[in-house]
Order: sequence, then C-alpha cells, then structure tokens
Amino acid sequence: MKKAFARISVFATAVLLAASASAYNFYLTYDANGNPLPAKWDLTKLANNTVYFYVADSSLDTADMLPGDGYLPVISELRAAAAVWNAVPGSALQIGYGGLFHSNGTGVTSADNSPDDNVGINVDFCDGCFPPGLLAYSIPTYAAVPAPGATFMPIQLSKLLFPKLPHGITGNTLASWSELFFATAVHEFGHNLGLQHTTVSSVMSTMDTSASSKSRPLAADDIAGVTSLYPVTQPLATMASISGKVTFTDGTPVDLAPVVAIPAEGDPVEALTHQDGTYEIDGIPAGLYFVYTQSLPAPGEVGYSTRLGLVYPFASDGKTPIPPNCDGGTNCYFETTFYPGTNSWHLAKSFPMDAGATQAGINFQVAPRSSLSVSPVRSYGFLPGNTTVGIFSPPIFTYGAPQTLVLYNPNNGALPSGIIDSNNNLIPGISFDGLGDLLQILPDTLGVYVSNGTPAVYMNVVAAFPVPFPGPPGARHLLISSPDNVYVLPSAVRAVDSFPPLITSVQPVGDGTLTVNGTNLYGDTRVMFDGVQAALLNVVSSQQLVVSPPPAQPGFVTHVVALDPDGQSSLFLTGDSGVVTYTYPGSAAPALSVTSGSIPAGGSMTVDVVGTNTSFISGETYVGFGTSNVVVTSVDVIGPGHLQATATNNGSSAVPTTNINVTTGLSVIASALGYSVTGM
Amino acid sequence: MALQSTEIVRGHVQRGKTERCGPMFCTHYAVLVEDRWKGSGGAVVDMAVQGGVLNGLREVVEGAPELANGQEYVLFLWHSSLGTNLILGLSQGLFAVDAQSGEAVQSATTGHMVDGSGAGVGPDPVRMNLAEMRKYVQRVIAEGR
Repeated sequence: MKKAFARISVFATAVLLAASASAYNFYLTYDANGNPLPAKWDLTKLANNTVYFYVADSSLDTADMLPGDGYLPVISELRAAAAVWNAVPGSALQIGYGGLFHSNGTGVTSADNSPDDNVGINVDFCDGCFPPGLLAYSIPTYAAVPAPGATFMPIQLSKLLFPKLPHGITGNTLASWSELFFATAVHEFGHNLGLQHTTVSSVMSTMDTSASSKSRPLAADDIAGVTSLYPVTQPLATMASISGKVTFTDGTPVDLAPVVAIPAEGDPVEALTHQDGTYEIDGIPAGLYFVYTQSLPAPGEVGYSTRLGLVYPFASDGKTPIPPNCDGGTNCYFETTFYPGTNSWHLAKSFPMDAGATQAGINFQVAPRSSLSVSPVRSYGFLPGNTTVGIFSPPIFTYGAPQTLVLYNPNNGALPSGIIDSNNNLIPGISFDGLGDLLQILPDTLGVYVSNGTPAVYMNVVAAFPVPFPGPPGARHLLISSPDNVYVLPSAVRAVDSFPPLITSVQPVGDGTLTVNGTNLYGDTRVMFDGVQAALLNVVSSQQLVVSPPPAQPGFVTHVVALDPDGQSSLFLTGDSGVVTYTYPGSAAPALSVTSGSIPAGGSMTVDVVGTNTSFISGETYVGFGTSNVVVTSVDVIGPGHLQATATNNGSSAVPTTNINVTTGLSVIASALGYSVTGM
Repeated sequence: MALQSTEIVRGHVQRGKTERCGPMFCTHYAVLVEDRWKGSGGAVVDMAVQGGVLNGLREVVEGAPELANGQEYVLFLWHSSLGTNLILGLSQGLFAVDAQSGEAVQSATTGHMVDGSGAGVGPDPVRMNLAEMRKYVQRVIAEGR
C-alpha cells in the first residue's frame, strides 16, 4: 500500500474546477443597475468565433523534464486540451491554435498587454510566478469598469501559466502525457473561457473532488457552463432547467448555495444561488434527477481564502469585491438538504426531466450550522489485481467481486475532516451510502489506514447492474453521513462494464502504418500519440488495431496511450512511466525556407514556405509568426513540402517572416526550437 | 509550509499599488512586521498578490486572496525571482489574526499544517493559538522537517 500511495500522490495534485449555468460561476461585475455582467470573449470580435492560443517558444525547462518529454509533447497535449472545449456542440466559441509566441523566459513579451495586442490566450512557463503548491493558473483580463449599456465584460487577453518544469504539488516532475497534466490544462482553459469553480466533481471542480479523466474530461456541468456562456442559437432548448430559492429556516435567503440536479447514475449539474437566494440550473440533460443543496466549503477549506476559491463579483465602481452576504461567520453553513426538505435520499423526490422541460418552485428551507461536519474528500481505487496504480473516480465494474474504494484529503496528509479523528479512528456515527440503489457499500469492510503519513478510509463497494441492463456506464455518487449532517460526493466512482485498454507494443507494418497491440482495444478506442489522435484504419481484434500515425519529425519519440469512451485509459494500467513509446524512423531534421522580408504593421502578406523533410497536410498544418499580433488567415498546402500562408499584422511593428513556426501533427518547426528557418 | 517559506512574519498590512510583475499584474502590500518567525528582512516587508487592476484593466486569478487593509496576518511568504514575495500556494500561507481570541485563522487550510511525516497537526486546522503556532513553526524549522 505504500507504493500505491506513492503513485497516488502524482495524481492527487490535480487542480480543481467546474462551471455551471449560474451566473455566480462566471467572473461577474455588476453594472450601475445591479445587473450581473459575466466576463467572456466577445464573439463579434473574433473571426469564426475563434480565440487563438499561443505557446511560449523558449521558456519551458526541457533539460529537466522526464526522458522523452519536451516542447513537442507539451504543445500537442495543450492542443488536445483546448480541443476538448471545441467539442461541446452547444457552445459557439472555439479555441484555435495560433502557434508559438516569443517569450523571454519570465513570461513577458514585448507585445504582452500592449494596446495593440491582439486578443488571445498566451500559454507561458514562469518559475517566479509559482510559489510551492501551485500547478498552474490562469489570468483572464478585462475592463475593470463596465462600459455603458454593456451586457458582458469582454475578455481582452488571457494567460495560462505553468511552471517552467511542470510538476505536481509534491514537487514531482509531471509527464505531459499524464492524466494530471491534461486535466490541469483542460481546467485552466476553462478559466480562460470565463468559467469558475464548481463543487460537482467536473473538470472545473477543484482537486478535492475532481473526477475528470483524460478520456472523458468534461462532465455535464462543464458543458452546461460553457454552453450558457457562449450559446449557439436556441442553445438550451434541448436541455431541462430547474429553478427555485434557498432560504434558512428563519426565511433569510442563502447566498452562494450550490443547488445540484443529480441522477442516481450520471453527471450532476449545479448552480449557485444569488444574493436573494434564487437559483436556476440550466443545461440539464434529459433524465431522472434528485435535487439537493449543500453548503460550500468554508473560506480556507480546499486551499483557498474565498469559498471554493471563487472570485467574488465586483461592484460597478470596478474596485469593490462583493462577498456573499454570509461569508464564513456564525451560521453561514447549513445542513445538506434534498428536495422536499429531507436529508435522506430515500425520502427525496425525483423529477423526470425531459428535453426542454422546466421545473420551477423547487425551494429549500435549510437548517443553519456554525460549521461543516465533513469536509470535501477525494476518492480513488484500484483495478482488480493491480494495487500499484491508484485511479481517481475509480472504475467499478458492473460485474464481479466488490472493489476497494478509498477516501482521503488530497492536501498533503491532512485528515479527511469529519470522517477520521486525529487518532486515525473513524468518527463514531459516520456511515456511507450510495445515492440510489446502483452503488452499494459493504459496511463490514470499512477501515482506516495510514500510508506515508496520509490517513484514508477504505471500504468495499459494488456497482449494481442498472435497469434496464446493461445500461450506460456512468458516474455513481457517495453519501457520507455524520451524526448531524450528510455530505454528498458526486462521481465518487464510475461504473464500467469492461477493463481499461492496455497497449503492450507498437510495431511498424512497413507501409507507414502501425499495429497497436494490447488488450481491450476496440473500434471506439482512441489511440493517442502524445496529444494527437492516430487515424484508425482497421480493428483486427480486441488485441490489435492498425493505425496511421500522425506526422512527426524523424527520430521523435512519442508516447502512445489508448482512451476508451467510458472514461478509462491505458494509463490506468501502465502509470505514466510504463507508457509504450514509438520512435519515428529517419534522422534528417526538418527545415523551412520562407519568402524574405517582413509582414508590415497594419498590413497583410502571403508567405511562401518550402519545407525540407516536412509533411504538410491540408487542414492539419498550422502557421504562426511568433506573436499574437499576427493572425494567419489562410494556409494553402500545395504539397508535403510546400505551402503558402497569408497573414495580417495587427500590431505596430513589422514582423520578420523568419519568425514563422509551422505545426503539423506532432511536428513543430521553428528557429526558437533549434530548427533551420531561412529566407529565400 | 514552514520549510518552503523564505520568510514568515506577523504584522498588519497596508495596501499598495498594482503593477506589472513578470507576465501578470501584482497588487502589492507592505507588511509592517511585528514578529518574524523566519527570514531576515526589514521592519517592512513587501509582498504581492497575483492579479489586480492596472490602467483600467482587471486581471483575475481564481483563488488569489483579497487582503483587508489594516488587518493583521501571519504570512508564509516565498521570495520570487520576479522580485517580490508571494504567498505560499496562492492563499494557503495566509492566516488572519483574530485579535480578540489571539488565534491565527487559516484563510486556506489545504496542504499546510502538517508535521514531518505529513500528518495533519490537529483536529481543527482552521484556528490555532498564535503562540502555539509560532512555537510549532519554529520547532519545524529547527528540526528541518
């Protein structure tokens, strides 16, 4: 078990976040009339509704990264993380990849934040920005004071910062192909879009509860959040909504109370109440839902000085933050309550929510508490027969023997508060239950153990067969009952009906294609070469797939991971260090030769690009010029070694064409990365 | 946390200006040091919180604290190569001092008060007697674990 905890610590540092349809889950500024204005990208100012992100070209500490890691894998994973948000059908916003930008290594660029800076997201790597304990953070930037008549606060620029050497909270160097790096990147891109944290174990939740996985990063709550912020026409017509009000028993409205629509099997969706206690949960997929409200963690819990780390709304003067009307004082908390006014899900009412349905008047009266008896915890478990790799929101099979579920506080050895006492005993009266009948806890298996100073509680659980069988795989939820309260941990486990995929080898066929060999490999398995998906050509059997690898530079070593749609990954079995690699044949370095000259300030230019040892592909080759001021409006691929790029310079300085960077698949060619780029 | 800090001080804070630091805005505070638990700075320590308003633009950092002007805090600081001191873990190293009870109240409780084996230091990590906390931190520093 010590080994298990050592491995777990790598994953445990994952950050947290989640979004919802509630305005409170956005970055808000009130206008003079008291209307809440969310910060968001202005789609009318973005060509093709696309905001581009740019990656710093020289500030990553590649020398100290894990063997085989570096710029190219990191860029590919960032592109994949951004693309996760593009796949939300109800969201109009797209995140495009704009190539590299020049950084001086401290995160400062000459154009950074200057008045002529083009809108975009700059991803940079900065050691001085990261006191110990932080994995990454984001900095959306918008006007402090609302413009007259504004309906939202346009984000003008945003930054996503990582340390120069990406690491977990324990300081361990993080592989770019890891679950944690990917979840962190997806989470941070969510912040860059304007989403704040939520409590329901989605990718925008904090690491204390996040159940995001590389193969299934977004939950329904994340989708509801981004859809609410950037709706396509009639965005939520196919989704349901629930509204109501939360008050204390004396009638006082409860501000900032999460209200959650949760199915017994599947993803919950959350909204936070406004200052008058009202709430509206939008974006609920059709299904059968319970509704509950549960107090936010206190200021100071889950690692933040505000409740859940939220940036509280600002007043219209642009200066004054408006904390919730009860912010950590006496009786600011309340007993978890299911509708209609019970702390037992057995007595709770469930609502069948059809597409487009609305359910109003779901009101709660909650009993105040001076504190919370149970703090947020995180769950992990193991696959049968493998106790070396801990998996968060662990897969629990809908067949077979009971499996172990472990609960702990991911904050460096802190107690799972309210569950285990300081002598590492279960607190008297504590009990565990599944929400609904599809997750069963075997009570005689409860216990506590401590490994590497981290106390945790373990139990055996069974994911029951859904009705009608087999039903979809999905999240199942845990209830922790203390003598005076109930804590709901959404998505504590994930029910699945098969083992995760495993890749044991990758072999060249001889025609440029590869066989991917292993177990549990199917037609819906995605085979990732670092952050780029390989094209699936043939399913030979569950033990062999034939794929066409994405383009990469000769000699490049890529990490091959299989992702299943049920949320499982081959990383579950291999861990980060046991991932199969594939080395691209050849040794000749790519090079570029471009039209000599500069793209004039305020002007456009078509740049001819001749590549040596390149594999330009129409629609899959991206061109940048080292600054977000230059926007590439078209890339015309003439052949694997020839393209023409048309670029517009919105900045105030001419930009040399030799600043070009060209990305195709896993290949990124730029002089800043050590490749030859010359004028012709 | 005590070991990772370059400076640990108790004092009242005075809000200063917001300016660029590295790739971001930083809002500065002057800490009027009344007690130093670690480090060798002067009577006034400059520290900064990520984000703020500069030239009409607001930078928001989820989880960055808002310090109350004039409030007394215990601060676990980390000297950044950006030239200022930042709070450890964004807000984990921030403790407000409750003058009435003589307690330090953690503004953020994760990952902080653990002993050398990584175990939590007590059943109630949110509040701690100031004198006991000082004693504890100095013991951890002395033992180097």
